[in-house]
Amino acid sequence: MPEVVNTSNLGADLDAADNRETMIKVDHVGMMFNIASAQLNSLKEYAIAAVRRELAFKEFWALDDISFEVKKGDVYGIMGTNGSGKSTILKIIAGVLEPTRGKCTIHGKIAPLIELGAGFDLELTARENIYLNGALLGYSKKFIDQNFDEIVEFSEVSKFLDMPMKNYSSGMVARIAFAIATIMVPDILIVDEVLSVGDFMFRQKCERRIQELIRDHGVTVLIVSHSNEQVRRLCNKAIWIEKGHTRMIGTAEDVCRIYQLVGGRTGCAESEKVIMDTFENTDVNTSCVQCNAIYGDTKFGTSAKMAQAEQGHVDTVVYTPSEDHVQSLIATGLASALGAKMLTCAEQSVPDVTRQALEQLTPDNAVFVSCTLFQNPQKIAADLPKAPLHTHVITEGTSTRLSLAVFEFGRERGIWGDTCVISPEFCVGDQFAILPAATKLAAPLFFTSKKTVLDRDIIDVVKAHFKRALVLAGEEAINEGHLEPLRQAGVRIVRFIADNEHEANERIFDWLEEERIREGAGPVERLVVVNPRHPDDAFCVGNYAARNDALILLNNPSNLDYVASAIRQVQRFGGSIRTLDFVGDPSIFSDLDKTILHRIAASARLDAANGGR
Amino acid sequence: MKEFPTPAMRRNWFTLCMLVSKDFKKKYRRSALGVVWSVLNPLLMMAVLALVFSNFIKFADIPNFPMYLILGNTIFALMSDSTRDGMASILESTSLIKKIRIEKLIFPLEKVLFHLLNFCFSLVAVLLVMIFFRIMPTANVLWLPLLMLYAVLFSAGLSMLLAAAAVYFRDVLHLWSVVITAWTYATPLFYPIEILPAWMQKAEFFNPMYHYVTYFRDIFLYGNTPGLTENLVCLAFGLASFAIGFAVFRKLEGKFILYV
Repeated sequence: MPEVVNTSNLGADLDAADNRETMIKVDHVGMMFNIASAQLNSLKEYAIAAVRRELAFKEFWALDDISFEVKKGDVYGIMGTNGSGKSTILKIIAGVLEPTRGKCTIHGKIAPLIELGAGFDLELTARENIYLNGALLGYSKKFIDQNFDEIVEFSEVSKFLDMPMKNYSSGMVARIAFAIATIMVPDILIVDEVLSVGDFMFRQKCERRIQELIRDHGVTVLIVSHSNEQVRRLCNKAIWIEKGHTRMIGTAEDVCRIYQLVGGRTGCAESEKVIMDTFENTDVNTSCVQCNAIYGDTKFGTSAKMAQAEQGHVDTVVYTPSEDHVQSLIATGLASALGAKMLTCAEQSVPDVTRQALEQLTPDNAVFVSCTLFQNPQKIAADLPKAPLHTHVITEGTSTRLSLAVFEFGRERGIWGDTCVISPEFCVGDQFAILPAATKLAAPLFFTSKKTVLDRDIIDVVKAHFKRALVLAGEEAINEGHLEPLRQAGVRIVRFIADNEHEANERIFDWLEEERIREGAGPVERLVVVNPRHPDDAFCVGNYAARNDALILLNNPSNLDYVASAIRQVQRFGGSIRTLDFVGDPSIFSDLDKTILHRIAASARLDAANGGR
Repeated sequence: MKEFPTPAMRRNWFTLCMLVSKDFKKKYRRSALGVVWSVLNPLLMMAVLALVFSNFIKFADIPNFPMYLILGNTIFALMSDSTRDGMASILESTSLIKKIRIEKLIFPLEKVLFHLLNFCFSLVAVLLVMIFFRIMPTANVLWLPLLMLYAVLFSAGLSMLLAAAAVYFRDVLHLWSVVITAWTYATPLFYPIEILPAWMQKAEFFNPMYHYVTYFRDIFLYGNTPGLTENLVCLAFGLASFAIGFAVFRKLEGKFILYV
């Protein structure tokens, strides 16, 4: 799947009436790097390339037609993801690079803070380096003499002045460098992510100094940062550059808001628009839809939390290492068919949260499911607070064998329905999406192995015991020919063919809805949102979703197409959704990510209520 | 509070001085004898060469052979050392060039200046040899500053040329040490020019280092006054080298940042 990053212009909010003096004027600047010839460092390579006429071919435009103006007294933020050309534009402004096209005009003296400590020689002492660095930055000897004490005072290194700087901590080096660079009052100060070094005391001190320069001396400042919060706090204006193109120019507040929402994420322009429209639509009363976050302190904690969520006696606990999604999903299937709780553990040990959950649940039986052999399952079992009466260990070397063994274990107990799920290992997203159905239908999960596309053993088992097979993955992984023997044996095949994970999720939803209608079930009122890129703490979700009559919605916030698809799917239920459960901590689903779906669900609900009236 | 200092030239000069002082400090940091090595080194080199070439390999009887040696070696070393360091100077300053707007000429020139300073220290060694062998200096030693000017112009020109070339083709770095070795043997440093075949003696006219070495020996060892022609030739080589080096450097420096 090609990675799409939007570079379209989202508009510029230029204040034409602003008649302050222009300090920096970047005028249609383009910067082209010649990738091919930039790598030729020897005569031989050069000669070969010249003969092959490969010279000066691969052009790469690091910046394409960038224009903006910085007025006197502005604190201007430059935002963008890594490799989007921020540093290149700073270098052009600092006069280090010549633009290939266009012009950059500067009025006034520039102090570049492009990288702290460029030009320090760590063999020399701090005293010597202060003079050396000062000279490189263009100060006179007299000027450094006059301000030497102030530099030393700011950098807090007076005790170590005559020690070679190689013995300094990196924080001390950064302090000296910052002190030297900001000791004079320039007309324009360029700050390139320097505030990200050093401890927070140092960062605060630097920020104070910068703010002092802004407030007391009216210095114009240019700041490059990844940090939304920093730009918002320090800047009044901002530009967002993405892959060399201007995406947005405006007040820092506006640019930050949009950047935070869609900056640095993949996805097509339409998806981006859907998401921005949703976000801008702030006057939705979201109280009619409940929005929960489910996560534990660790990845083990989530399952423990879910297992503890309901009361009552627990007969069986299925217990599996969560390092690997394959065994966890097999275990989930078993747990739900057995009506058991599912807990996760590490390969070698029992995490504290799991132990506490067990203490509370006190099950009679424990089933261990693992692809790799437990080091010593009996020991782990004995290690448990109240050893279960019966311990079963199911362990096999491969995912295929493990799924067959788990099936066998369940068959002896007669827990399986007449439907099964067949999937290759990699379809994590599909496997999540199908979980509610698999749980309800008590369908075991069979993993096809990597070598043969559909194993004989699986075919035999499915032919013998099942009427229907839900086959995940597309044609390229399992083609129709592979399924022919099953068809001939009268097994009904249901497939969910799609170009990508989120579309497959939509197909599965289509099917699940049909099934619900056939069964006469009511509308879906609950969605459990899972990020297939971070499945670690989401394995136990199948049981939870089935018990709550919820469907599992996949959402990957770093891909806007995914988010747009999730929005469409929330909308398809026509306002029946009352609850959204997000599985994962704030690093997996941020408040912003939750807000978007929450608003969509709420406005769909409100629309339905209004339409029905 | 503070204001911006100085016109560009004075600023660059200060930077140049700071860099020279940095190189000097680094060279002798943590050595017991420190700056004495600048005097000792040419003396020891001379002693070794004198031992080898007056006992094992003897070309001809050269009066005051140690003096003959040290004069040739020190002036040649000025050129070879400054071009060697000057050549790598831009590449070594990558981090600065990429980050600060700075006059790039400073880097090769600084290396030449640094080795000029070293040359001045080796003059002390020359003085010691003169005292040891009881060689009376004449008023002709006063021509020395002119010779230094010629040699510095010549070395600076080569350094700029090589520094610019090395940015584009790192091969130059390897090639130049070979050239310097060949040049050492092609210049009459430890043998008299008379032992060369006739055509090579004629060719020596086009060897700038031959002129500088001869000039140096004339004023320090033989007490000859250099003629106008000799001065013009030395100056011409120096100026030509400097002009070419400067022009090439200026033409290429804008694109350095893309290649370093």
